[in-house]
Amino acid sequence: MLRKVILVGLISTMLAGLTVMAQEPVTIQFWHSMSSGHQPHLVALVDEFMAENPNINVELTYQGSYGDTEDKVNASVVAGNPPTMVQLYENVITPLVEVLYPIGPHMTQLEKDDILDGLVENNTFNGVLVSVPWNKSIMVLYYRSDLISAPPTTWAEFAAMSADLTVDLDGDGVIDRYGTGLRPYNPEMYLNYVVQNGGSILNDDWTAVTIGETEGLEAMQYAESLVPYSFISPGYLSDALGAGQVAMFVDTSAGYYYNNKAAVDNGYTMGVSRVPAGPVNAKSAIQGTNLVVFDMGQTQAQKDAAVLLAKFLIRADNTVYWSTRGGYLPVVKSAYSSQAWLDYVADHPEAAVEAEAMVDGFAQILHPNYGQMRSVLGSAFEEVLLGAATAVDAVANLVIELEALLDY
Amino acid sequence: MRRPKLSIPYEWKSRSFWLESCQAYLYLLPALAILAVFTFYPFFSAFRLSLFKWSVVRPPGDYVGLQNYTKIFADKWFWNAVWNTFYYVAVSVPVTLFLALLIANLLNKPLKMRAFARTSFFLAYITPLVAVAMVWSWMYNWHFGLFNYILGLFGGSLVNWLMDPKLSMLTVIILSVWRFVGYQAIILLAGLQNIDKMYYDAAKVDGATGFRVWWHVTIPLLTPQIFFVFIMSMIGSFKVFTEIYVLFSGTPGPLKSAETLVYYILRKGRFDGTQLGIAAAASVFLFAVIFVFTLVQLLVTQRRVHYQ
Amino acid sequence: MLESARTGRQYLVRQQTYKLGLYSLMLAGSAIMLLPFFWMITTSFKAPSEVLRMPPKWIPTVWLWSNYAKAWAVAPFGWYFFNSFFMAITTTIGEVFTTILAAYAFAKMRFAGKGVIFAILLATLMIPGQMLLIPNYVMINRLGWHDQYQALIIPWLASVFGIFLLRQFFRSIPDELHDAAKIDGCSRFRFLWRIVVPLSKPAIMTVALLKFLGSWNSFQWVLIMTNREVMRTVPVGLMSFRSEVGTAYEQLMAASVLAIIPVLILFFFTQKQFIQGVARTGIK
Repeated sequence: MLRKVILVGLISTMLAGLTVMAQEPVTIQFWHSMSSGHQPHLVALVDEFMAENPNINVELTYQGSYGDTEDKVNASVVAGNPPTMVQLYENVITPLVEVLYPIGPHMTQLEKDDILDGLVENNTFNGVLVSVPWNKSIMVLYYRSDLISAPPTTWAEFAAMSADLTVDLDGDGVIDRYGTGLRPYNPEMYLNYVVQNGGSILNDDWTAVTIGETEGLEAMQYAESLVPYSFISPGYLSDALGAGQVAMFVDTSAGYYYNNKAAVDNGYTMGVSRVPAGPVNAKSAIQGTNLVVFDMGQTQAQKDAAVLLAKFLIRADNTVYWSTRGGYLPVVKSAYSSQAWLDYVADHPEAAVEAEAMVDGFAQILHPNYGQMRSVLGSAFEEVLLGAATAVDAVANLVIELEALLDY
Repeated sequence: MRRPKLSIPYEWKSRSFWLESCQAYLYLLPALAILAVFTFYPFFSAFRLSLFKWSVVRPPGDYVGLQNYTKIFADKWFWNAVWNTFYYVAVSVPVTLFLALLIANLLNKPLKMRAFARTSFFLAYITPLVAVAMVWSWMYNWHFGLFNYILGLFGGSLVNWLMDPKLSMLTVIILSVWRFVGYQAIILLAGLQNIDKMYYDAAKVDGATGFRVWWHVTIPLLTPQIFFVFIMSMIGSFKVFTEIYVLFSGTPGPLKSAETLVYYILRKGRFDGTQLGIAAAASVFLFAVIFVFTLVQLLVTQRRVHYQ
Repeated sequence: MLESARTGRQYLVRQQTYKLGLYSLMLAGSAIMLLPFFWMITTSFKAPSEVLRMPPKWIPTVWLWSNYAKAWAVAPFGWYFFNSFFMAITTTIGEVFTTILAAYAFAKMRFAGKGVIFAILLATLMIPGQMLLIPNYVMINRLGWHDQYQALIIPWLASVFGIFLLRQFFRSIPDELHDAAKIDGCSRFRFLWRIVVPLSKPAIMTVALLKFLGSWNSFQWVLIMTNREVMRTVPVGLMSFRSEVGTAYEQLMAASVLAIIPVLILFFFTQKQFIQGVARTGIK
C-alpha cells in the first residue's frame, strides 16, 4: 500500500513537474516561522525540492514567531500582495479562505486519503480541502524517569502520583517540587481533559455551547483537583523541569528537544508516555500549522508551483524527514509504515508514543471566532488554576462568554 | 478708527509676520513632510478604522458606526485595562521623575567616577528588554528571587510577586522606574549642563549656597527640561506594554491584572484574532485620555516654565 | 585665629563626609543599575545547564566563549550589524537636521498655525505605535519600498520627540543674541547654524544619541517591512533564539551583549561631548 502511494505520488509529482518545466522559470515566496532549531531542516527540504524542480525558485523567508508571521500575512493581504505560500494556524486561515487557492482539488484522491483523518477535517472549509497540515505536534506526558518508574495511565493514577511527588525537600515549609505543572493561558491543557471526558466546546453545528455540560464541568473540576500539586507558571515548563520544580507534565511533542535537554543538563532522565486516559478516551490536542497558497495576484504558474511544494513537503519521505528532526509528527498515514520512520522509532521510543497519540488526537475547530474563544477558554482555565474562581463558577462564566462569540 | 467686528489676531495684520511664517514653514517642511506621510496619515487611518468591523480580505470591512465603542465600554476587561493604566501612570511618572532629578544632580557633581556612573544609569535603558526581563523574573522569583531573599533577611514572609494579581502592576512599576530613571536623568543632565554659569555666579554674589541655590536657581532654570520629561514620560507611560509582555512571559499578568490599555488593544487586534475595529476604538479612547491629560498639564505648567 | 582654624577644619570634615556620601550614593545607584547587565554578561558565558539553576548561579564554572561563536552562527549577524549601523547612522544624521530646523521654527519663529501644528505633532505621539503598523505597511508597499532600505530609513528621518526636546533648549537661548546677530547682518539661517547649534551641543548630542538608540533597537518595524535576511537588523536577529517551546538563553545573552556594545561605546565616548561643562561664562 505504502509503495503504491509513494509511486503514485512520485509519478504525479514528476508529471506535474514536467508540465511546469515546460513553462517559464517561476519564483514563489514561502513565509515561515521556523526559528534556528528547525530552520536548517526546512532549508534542506526546500533545496531538495528545487533540485527536483529546477525551474522553480523558492524564496524562503523567516518572519518571526507564529504571531509575527500572522501579523505580517494579514498586513500583506491588506496591502494586496501576500506571499505565495505560508504556514498558518486554523483560526488565522478561516477569515482568509476566500483569497486562498485550495490545494485539495489539485491532489489525487489517494493523496488526500493518505492524510491523517483528524487533520483532513481540520483543513476542510465548506467541503473543500483548502490547506494541508504540515508541522503538527501532539500533546504527550513528559516525566522524570529517575523519579517515576511507571508513568500514570489514568486520571486517577495521575492525580495520586502528582500528590505523592509533591514534596518539601528541605523542610522549610516551602514546596520544592510539584508533582505536575500547569500553564494558565494554555487552553489546550484544559481541552485535553474536556475531550477525554467525552465533552466538546460547541455542538456539531455550532449553534450551542456544550462545554458547560457535565463532561466539560467535570474536566474543569479534575483540573481544579490538581492545583495543589501543580507548579503554576506561564513560563516554559522545560525551565521548571530543569530546575527540579516539576516531576511530570503534559506538553507538546514539539518541546521534546528542550524538555530533554533541560532534564539531561541537570542530571535527570526523562521519559515520554501517552497522556493519561480520561473516562472516555485518551485523546490529546494536536497543535501546529498548515500550509496555504494564496490567490491574490499570483500567476497560475506560481500557484501550481506552490501546490507542488506543499505536496512535496507532505510526501511520506519528506514528512518523516521533517518530523524526525523537529519533534513533529508525520501527517500522512503512509509515512508511519515507511522504513525511515520505523528505523527512527527503533532508536527513539518516544516517537512511537507520539505516533500513537497523533493518530488519536483532536484538532482545533474551525469556528471563525475560535481565536477569541481560545482566549476566553484560557482565561477560565487561569481563574481555576489561580484559585480565583471555583470550577463551577468559572465554567458558568465561560459558557456565557462563549455564547456571545457564537455569532459571526 | 472703528474696531473690526471679527477679531483676527493682531499679528496677522503685519506683513513681516506672514513673511516669517513662510520662512518658518520652509524650516518645518522636511520634518513635516515625513511626519505627514508616516505618522499623520496612519493616525487618521486608525481613527477611521474604529468605525468599521474589520475584515482582512475586504478592508476596512463593514461600517458599524459607534458599535465598536459600545462594545468596549461594555467589556469588563476594557475597564480593567483602564484602571491598570491609570494606576501605572499615577505612580511611575512622579516617582521616576523625582528620582531622575536627584540622580541628574548627583551625576552633575564634579566627582571622579562620573562617566562610569552615568553609563551605568543609562545602561538600564539600553539593555535589551529580553535580558532585563530574564533577570527581573529571577529577582521576583517566589522561592529563589533576590527580593524575597532580602525580605527574608528582615524577617518578612515570601511574596509571590509574579503570580499575585494584586502585586503584578506594582512589579511592572518597579521595573519601569528602574529602566527609565537613567534615561530621564540623562535628559535632565543635559539641561543642567545648559544652565549658564552666570546664574550661579550671581547667586554666589548674593551669598546663597547649597540647597537654596538648588531650589531657587537650578530647578527653575531646569523647568524646560523637567516639563519636557514630565509630558513625554506621561504620554509614554500611558502606552506601556513591552515591559509587561516580557516580564509575564507573553501574558498580561495573572488574571490580566497587568493588562494595560495598549495590551488590551493588542490583544483585540492581534493576539486573540484581528478585531482591528475594536482595537482602533480602544486606541482612540486612549488617545482622548492622553490628550486631555496633556492639555491639562500644558495649561497648568506653561506658566511655571522659565526659559533663560 | 584659633577659632577660624577650628571651624575651617570642621568645614573640611563636613565637605569630606558630604563627598563620601555622594560617592557611596553613586556607587550604590550604579550597582543597582548594573545588576541585570552583570547577569547578562555572566549568563552569556554559561553552559546551558547553569542558566536556570535555582538558586541562581552567578559565576559560570567554565567561561564558554564558544557561546558567542555559536550565537553568531545562528543567523547572519554580519548583515544584521551592518544594517543596524547603516540604519542608525543615516536616520540619526537625517533626523538631527530636520529636527534642528523644525525645533528652531517652533522655538524662535512666529507663524500662523504654530499652536495647532505643535498640538497635532504632539497628538501623534498619543496613539500606540502598533496601530500605525498596518497603514504604514500598506503605504510602504504602495511606494514600492518594502524590503528596501528606503522603508527602514526615510520614515524615521523626523521625530516629534526630538523636535519637542530641542525646542525646549532653543527657547532657553536669549532673544538678544539673535537681535545682536541681526544687527551684524547675520541671516536667520546662518544664525541658527553658526551660533545656536554650537551653543546647544548637549541637547543635540542627546537627540542624536537617543535617535541612534531608537533606530538600533527598532524591532517591530524592521520585521514587518523586510523579508530578506540581508535587510534585517540585530534586534530581529535576537529573535532567532526563541521559539514557541523554548529559548536558548545563553546564546541569546551572548547575542544581546554583542548588540549592546556599539551603543555602549557610543554613549561612553559621546557623553563627554555633550555633558562636558559647557561652561559658558555669559553672553556678554
